[in-house]
Amino acid sequence: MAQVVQARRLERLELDYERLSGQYFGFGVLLTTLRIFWVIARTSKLFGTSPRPQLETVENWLGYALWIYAGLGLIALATILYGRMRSEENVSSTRLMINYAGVVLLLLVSNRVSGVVKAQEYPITLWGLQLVNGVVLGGVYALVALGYTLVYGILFMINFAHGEVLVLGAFGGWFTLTYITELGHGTFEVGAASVSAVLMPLIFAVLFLPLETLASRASQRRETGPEVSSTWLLTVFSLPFRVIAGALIGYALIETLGGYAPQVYNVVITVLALLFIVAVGMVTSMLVAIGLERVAYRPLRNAPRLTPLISAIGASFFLQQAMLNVFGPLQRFYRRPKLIDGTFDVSLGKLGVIPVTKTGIIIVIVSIIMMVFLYLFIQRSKTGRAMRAVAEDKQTAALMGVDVDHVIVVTFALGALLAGAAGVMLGFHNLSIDFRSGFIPGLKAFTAAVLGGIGNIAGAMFGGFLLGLVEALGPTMLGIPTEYKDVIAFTLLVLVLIFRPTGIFGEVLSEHKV
Amino acid sequence: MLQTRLKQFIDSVRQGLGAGFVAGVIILFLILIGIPVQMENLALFLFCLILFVFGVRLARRPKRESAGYLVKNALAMGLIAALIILLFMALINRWQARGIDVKKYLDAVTTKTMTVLSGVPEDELHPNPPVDPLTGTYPEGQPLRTSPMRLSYDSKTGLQLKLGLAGSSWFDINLIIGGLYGFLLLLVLVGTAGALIIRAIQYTNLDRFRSQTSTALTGNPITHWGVLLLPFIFFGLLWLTVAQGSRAPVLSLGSSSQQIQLLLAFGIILWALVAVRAAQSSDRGMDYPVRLGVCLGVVVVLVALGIWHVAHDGVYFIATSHARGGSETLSIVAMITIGGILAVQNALALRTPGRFESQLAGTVSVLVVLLMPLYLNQYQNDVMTLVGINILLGLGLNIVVGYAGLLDLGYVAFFAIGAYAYAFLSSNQQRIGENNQPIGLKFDGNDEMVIKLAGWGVITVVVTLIVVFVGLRLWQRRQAVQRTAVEAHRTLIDLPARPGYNTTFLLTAIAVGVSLVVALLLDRSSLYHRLFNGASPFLIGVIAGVVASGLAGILLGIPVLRLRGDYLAIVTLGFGEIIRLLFNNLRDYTGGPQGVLQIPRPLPENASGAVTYLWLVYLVFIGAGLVAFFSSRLRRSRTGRAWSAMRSNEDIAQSMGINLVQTKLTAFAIGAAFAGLGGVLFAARQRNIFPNDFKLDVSIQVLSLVIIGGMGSIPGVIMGAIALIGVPEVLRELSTYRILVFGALLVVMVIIRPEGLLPEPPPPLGERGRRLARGVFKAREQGEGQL
Repeated sequence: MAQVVQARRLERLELDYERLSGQYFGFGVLLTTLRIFWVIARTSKLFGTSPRPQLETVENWLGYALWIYAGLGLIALATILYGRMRSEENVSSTRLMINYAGVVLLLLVSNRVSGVVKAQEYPITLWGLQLVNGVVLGGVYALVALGYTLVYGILFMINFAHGEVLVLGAFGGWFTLTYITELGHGTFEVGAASVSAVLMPLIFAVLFLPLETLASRASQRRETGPEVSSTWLLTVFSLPFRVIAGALIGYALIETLGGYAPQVYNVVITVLALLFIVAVGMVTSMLVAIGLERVAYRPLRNAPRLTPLISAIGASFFLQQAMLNVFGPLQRFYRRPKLIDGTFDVSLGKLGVIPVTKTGIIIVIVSIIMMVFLYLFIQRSKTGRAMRAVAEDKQTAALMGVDVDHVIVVTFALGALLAGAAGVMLGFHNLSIDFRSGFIPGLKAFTAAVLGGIGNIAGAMFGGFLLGLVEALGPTMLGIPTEYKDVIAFTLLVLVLIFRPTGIFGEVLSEHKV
Repeated sequence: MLQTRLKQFIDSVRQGLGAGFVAGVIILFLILIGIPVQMENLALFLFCLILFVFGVRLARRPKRESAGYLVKNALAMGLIAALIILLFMALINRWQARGIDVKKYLDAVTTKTMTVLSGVPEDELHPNPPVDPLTGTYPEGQPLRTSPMRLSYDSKTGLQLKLGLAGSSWFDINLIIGGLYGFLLLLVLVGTAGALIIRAIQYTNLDRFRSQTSTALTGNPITHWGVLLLPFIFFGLLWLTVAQGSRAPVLSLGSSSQQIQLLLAFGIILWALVAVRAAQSSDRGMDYPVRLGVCLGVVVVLVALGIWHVAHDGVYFIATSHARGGSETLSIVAMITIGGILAVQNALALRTPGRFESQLAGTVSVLVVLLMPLYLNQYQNDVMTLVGINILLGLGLNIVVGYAGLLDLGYVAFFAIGAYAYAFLSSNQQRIGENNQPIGLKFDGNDEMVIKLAGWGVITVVVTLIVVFVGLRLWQRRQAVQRTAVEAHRTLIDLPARPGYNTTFLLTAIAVGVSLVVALLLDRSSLYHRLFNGASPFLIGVIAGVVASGLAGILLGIPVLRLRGDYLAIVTLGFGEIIRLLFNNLRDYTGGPQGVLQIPRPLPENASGAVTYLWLVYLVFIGAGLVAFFSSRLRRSRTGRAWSAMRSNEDIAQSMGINLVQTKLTAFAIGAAFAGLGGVLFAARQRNIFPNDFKLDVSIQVLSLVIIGGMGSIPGVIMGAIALIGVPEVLRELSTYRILVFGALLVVMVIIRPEGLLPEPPPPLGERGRRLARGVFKAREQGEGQL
């Protein structure tokens, strides 16, 4: 009886121990990150070649702080567990123990990292290079992770075949690149010139067309009958004039540039050609994803959860082997045009120089632009609103008049567009693609999506960059050879799923779906 | 009136028209880019795509459609494709008539496209050695491309379809179909056949078939007994076609006899499954002595046949160190023992009435399956071993995926752990280090390790038994004391019958600790050496492999317990890759990419003769049999019912009192242990293992054969293994398309027949259940039109 009373006294504090332990773990992550950064900064001479000894003292104190933190946590944990054991209630303490084990793991990791870094003393340029690589990789992972997250948010299934969509986009881009190079008889720039001579007029012609009117006319159902507004005839008659005018203006522009400003002309044609390549890659991926959805996923909308997963796995392997059988096992090589070839040296003063590849910069910039566009699309446009509605509750959205099938196709297409762009950029960055080169990035992108909280768009972006950084910096920090970076990625996945299964930003799902 | 009739007709063939249009366009594409020989892969691929699209679309229609509908649509498909191609051909003819050399242009487009698509530069693009222009034949001795299907176009003969498997004249069908029209006829036939096959696959229900045929066959003893004795009949065919000793076979099959015998062997296994299922419970009016006589007669005949074969033709399957080439006496003794066991089992079982047919079918099946490897040669036994190992793996994965509903994509990790465990314990490999000195790998001195493991294992088992026994006694005594105390207070607390988690954990910890201490202490003395010197590394390897894999399963299971199906799949996939990467990169411990070589067989040195391949087949059969037995018993046990509940709905299962953590861990551990057993046998078969043997493809392969054969059904998995692994081994030339077909089959089967090809029959319902089911079925039929 006395034991029960004592336990009840502890209970009267009314603390939510699970949440506290989660915060304990979070703060532990912060401390660890701080310690690691400090060690890296000190040993890589960021604070100067002969740093003051106070910095080392700070570092040691950070280490001690972590140990003390873990020790205090142990005492607190023991007390809570003892109290729970003595009381009569039957509450599981696994969450507490897992979070504490997480802090212990963080302690071990930080010790190992500080040991390795202090022994090796890498210069800041190396860390900077790894950081840049990490950000570049992260951009790619973020783009692909968005595809996974979008599909999961709506259909609650993992699109295993997304990695193959990525590689097919890269192949599409490769074929276009080869075509352009052939047009230019072996030189990309000449081919780009011919292509731009067609593209520029086309773009201007399209710009001059009254797209909105045509689109609204096309989307009206036939119930409106043979109503013809007075301006419609005028619009129709003006179309050929518009096309010709646009084409002429575009052609004139490109010729002028060629004649009077050759450097600008070179840049313009290369950029146009590259955009064309990326566009073809995106369209290829989109077609594949739409076909995949129709054939492999749509018939299984109402099947138990395991079945679409198996179908996805089968589709993934089918696509991979189909690529092997149709394209052959040989690698295809991308060739970088002169504009994006080479590195851009970031100088850090007397600390050194970090060589940043131009393709890397392009990847990061394009990724961020595309992610911003996606975010705006989902938040501001009508289709985006429909997507959010379907993600929240499919049936109610259908009751509200949303065409669920259409929305699902749009979701797949959007994800595939991003993946296609990522594939083409990856091709330019890594210079070789193969039928198997989509598998591992696909898995890692899924890891990134889970890291950030699957179903959450900002989470996918964040998770992508985080995974890229961990993958680039991890082997160096932990002192293990680089062949193990895949192992690090998967271990991170397992750890995230153990310690924070809802991901860093938490799942945006309502309870009854879980 | 005519208009509505026309409309109805067009509606009914709409599917065929659509598919025909697609087919025509695809064939046009084929003609434009690659009718000359180079594009076999693309041709075959697109051909199968047509079949697939048409078949799946057709098969998803409700069952009301008749076969006539299918034929009509297939005909429509062929006609439309013919029309499209005829138009194109007419265009080409017109151009040629005007003097434009179309063929040259087509050739140029073809080579260009081929170069671009395959990446092979133009001058290396001759897949077949050129035909000798004088004789019109291929030059002697040059290897030809062994592609199964060649679609070629020649201005003289037109379209030519060659379905040939180079090297086996039996299957070489050289169909020079009369040009274009013949090809279109082929298209129609293939489309119809494909649709009918897919429909058959979708709607075949073996139980309905069984009940229908059994009612039809009950009055016809010949067919009934024919089905029951089919394994025996197939065995007879095999017996007739095999050369025994110096005698030529009775029925000679020519150059592809090996493949046909292998197919017969697969047939034996499959029909054994069917016969066991088709047996009814009836005694046919025979008394016990008669029944027993018939069964014993069968046993005696088959065992005698086997003994004659062994004695007469020297096909021994047991070897000792004294009889390197195999021991005749031991083999005969083994066969007589098995015969005796079966005889005794029959005698005991037949006392219960109604068991005659199942006993007969079962006995015939078992004996015939056991005798079969004696009549096959080394290559065929090798294939049977491969199929057997896959059956083992499939049954293990069946427990995890089929019974417990946990999609495990990293199954190959446990397979690898088992294989490497056996490899570590038994390999004699020496590695060349710096200065060209031979260094053993870290597991040099494996004999020491084997003895130590044997000793430690025995000690652990003994100590654990003692500790558990004593601990339970103590606990029961404490319960008795508490019970008197409780009754004195008259509370409503009920004491458990078994110790709770804390006590169990404590007992386990004590057992492990004490056995560690005892084993360490005894290790100092040479007790282990004296007892286990000469212990067979294979036996210890099997136990070590199974235990290691089981532990790995538990270790993997702990983090993934609370994850949902999708996350579970990815995490297990990642784990499989991690294990392979670890084995690949830890060169000092595992040999790295060069793998572990020189793994010995559990046979005496310099064994020769038929023993060298027969021992493995029988071991694999024993292993697969054990696993099948265990999994069928597990399914009917309490654990199996818990798995079934968990698979249906986890939350409801948890509210019914099933401990999800424990149930999932059990499934993982048992599945992993079976995979470990498979790994040990695999290592013993291959004798050299490399990390590349354990790629993700293996996991997908095993997953395919579980899902396509039937999730949760043991005969289904066996059939899946034979169909997906055995048959492609026979038709060697299709091996490059294997994973492609597996992937496509996974998608197709899961859409049109998710329960698999040979599913378990639904559990027998009581009367109330049957009434409910009938009501649901009627309601669904009535409401079908509105859905």
